[in-house]
Amino acid sequence: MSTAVHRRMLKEYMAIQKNSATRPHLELLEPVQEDDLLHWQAILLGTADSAYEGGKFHLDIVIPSSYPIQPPTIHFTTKICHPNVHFKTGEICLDILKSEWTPSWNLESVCVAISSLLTNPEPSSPLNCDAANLLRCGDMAGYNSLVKMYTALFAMPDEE
Amino acid sequence: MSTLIPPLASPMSESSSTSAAFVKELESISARSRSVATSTSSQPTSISAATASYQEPNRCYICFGTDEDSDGRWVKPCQCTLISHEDCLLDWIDKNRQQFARKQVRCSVCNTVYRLAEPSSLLLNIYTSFDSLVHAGIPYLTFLGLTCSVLITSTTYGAYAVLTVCGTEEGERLLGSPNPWGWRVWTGLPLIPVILIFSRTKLIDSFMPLIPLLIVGNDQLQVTFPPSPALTLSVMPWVRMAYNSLWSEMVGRLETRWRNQQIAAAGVARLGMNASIDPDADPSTARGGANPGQREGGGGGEEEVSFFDRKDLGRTIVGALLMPAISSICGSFLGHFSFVRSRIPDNFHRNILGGCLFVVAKDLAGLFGTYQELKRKRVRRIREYAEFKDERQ
Repeated sequence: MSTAVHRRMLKEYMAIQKNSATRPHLELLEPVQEDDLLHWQAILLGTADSAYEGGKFHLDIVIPSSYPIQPPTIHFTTKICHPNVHFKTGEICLDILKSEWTPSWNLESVCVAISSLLTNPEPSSPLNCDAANLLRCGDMAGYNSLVKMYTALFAMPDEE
Repeated sequence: MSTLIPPLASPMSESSSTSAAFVKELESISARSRSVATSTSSQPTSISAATASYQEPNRCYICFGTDEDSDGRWVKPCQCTLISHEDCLLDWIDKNRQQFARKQVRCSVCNTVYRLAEPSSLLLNIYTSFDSLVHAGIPYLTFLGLTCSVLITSTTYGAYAVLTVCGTEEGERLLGSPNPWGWRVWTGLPLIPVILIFSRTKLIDSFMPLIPLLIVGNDQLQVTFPPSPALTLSVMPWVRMAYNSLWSEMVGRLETRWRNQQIAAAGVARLGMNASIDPDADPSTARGGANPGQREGGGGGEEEVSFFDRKDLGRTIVGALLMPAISSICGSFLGHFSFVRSRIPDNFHRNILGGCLFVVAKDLAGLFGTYQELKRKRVRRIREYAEFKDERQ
């Protein structure tokens, strides 16, 4: 199995390097160490015109040896305020990382999916109840300012 | 983008799409890509490196292996452009079926149900349905058992309360007079269910044979023929140990043989052993080539063990506690044969024999089921889309 996972990760790596220009919201997607293709990191950029604008959100990605039969384990290492992300652990509640995973996803498309989760939260299955409650009550002003505050606090190291 | 990531690159769109317009669009896309594909891959297995030169090389959508760096039978199981190695796809289907053995697995892009051609064996079907019936029944049996135990505890407590309030004499007159029990009985009886459960594991093997001696006491142990119940029960742990070691010896041998067959049948095709993707491109290839060998050995072993040890906790406990009832049923069943009745006149020995026969029969059935399952896994294959696209349900 592990021959297969290394082959696949190597090919994904080469494809990611080739396409680096075509993903606006993904600043970085690479192995943490050059010689370990089973541990990756990524940096998502907050979409312009969203409350996450200007933030850089780090992701930690662990590839199981049974990948792509099993999904990768991904969590945020930057603190982020989002209904579907656990505020303390950074755990992400996204169906394609759990029950809806299929081998036709790859690291890049999963990162894009997480990036689009940021602007399309799903408050009905929350990991951060406070953020989800604001959304469910329709308090967009409150929600946006909360998100902006946490983005400025934790995701903009340069401006401190 | 186009060489490494085929049109599947947007599986996200599939989730939000039931509208007719989208389906139409998807069909036109897949029709287009099919017309490209048919020129190269109407018969994916026979594709040679020459035809695939710079069109769209065969690439497994699961392991990303191509003709150059991997071996294995190619299948095109659905109507979109995804193709994969048969073994990779079988792994994926197995992962999906871990919880429901009959679950339908679909292509994540075009939603076609993958179809398997596997031999149907009547005995295996009976075995699987019996197995899942037992599996489904366990929660009810557990509930029933818990209810009974509450009832028994309450009864015991009631007796204690009556004896305490009315005093021993008056209380015994009310309840009837049980013989006063000695410490052996008071320790022995509660130990019986515990021992029955632990006899399903290897945890207390080392002093299991001593326990009956403790409970029965030396004075009742006399070697007679036919052996007295006390003697028989003291011998049972030894019989169990002998049977267990014999069984594990036998199963161990069968297991190695089956595994060898398995490797012979599928091992070559399973994985391309040498990842020959341009070794200069990345230093990790060297590592990728060196590691897998060791891991594969370990992983394979674990996988194989789980075949023989996949019963869950509830099932083990309920099975162990039902053992007396099962032995008694089997014993009375044996009692119907005059042949057995003439040889073994008393109930007790018939029940013990019945219980032993049941254990042997159950283990053999389990072994048979496992073997049939392995065999089915070995010969099953995934059906090509071209084979079944005309037979619509």
